[in-house]
Amino acid sequence: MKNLKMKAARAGKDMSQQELAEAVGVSRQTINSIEKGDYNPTIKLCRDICRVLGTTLDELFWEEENGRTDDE
Amino acid sequence: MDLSFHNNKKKFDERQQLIRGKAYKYGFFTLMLFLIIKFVIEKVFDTMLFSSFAGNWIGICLSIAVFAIVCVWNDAYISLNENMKGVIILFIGVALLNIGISFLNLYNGHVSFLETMQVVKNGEIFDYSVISVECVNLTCGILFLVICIAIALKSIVDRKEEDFEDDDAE
Repeated sequence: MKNLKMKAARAGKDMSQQELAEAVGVSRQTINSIEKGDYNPTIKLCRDICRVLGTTLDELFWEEENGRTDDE
Repeated sequence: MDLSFHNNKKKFDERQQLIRGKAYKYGFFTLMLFLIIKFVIEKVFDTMLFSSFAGNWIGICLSIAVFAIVCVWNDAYISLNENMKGVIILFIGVALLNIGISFLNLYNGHVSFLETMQVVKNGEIFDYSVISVECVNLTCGILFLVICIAIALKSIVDRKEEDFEDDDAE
């Protein structure tokens, strides 16, 4: 399940995956895995990502009624 | 003056630590499986393939290779504060050095990868041609070479995926 909200928020801040990864202290591949939906981050990493992107946990990681986290 | 060495410690993020845990598990089970197969071949089929140390060493190298390949394939082998190019250059150097030493010794006739092992069974002496302890350098070289190949393949796959994603974004 892709996390397109996070990808959109990152693009909105004009950040690359590498820049976001460096800002939160993880590898670029970890950010890529989260966006692709291959990895479920811990709440600590979610909070760090939200802080850097200037959003809330709800906006980025809350699942919709139908169980989706993307903007489709 | 800070004399602590904590800055040199490898730093992995949470996803990498998770993957490394799984990779250790796969490496451990590979070693177990290797030792069981070795035992079955030696006891059930009544034959010998390795000298005592060579057998254990090849098993250890095999399990390290499994650990490394799983980590490399999931981007968890190289830590956040390590330089990938430096690691690859070091590994290629170690691989070539070990393979070079191994073949140089073989060429000069100092060592042989096969040795004859005599085993006494029921009062009779049996000769077995087994892989000798001299294979240590070669095995070590092959291990590092395999890790380098895995890193190279993963880089190619990553580059293709990145190109595909860039095309997708456009």
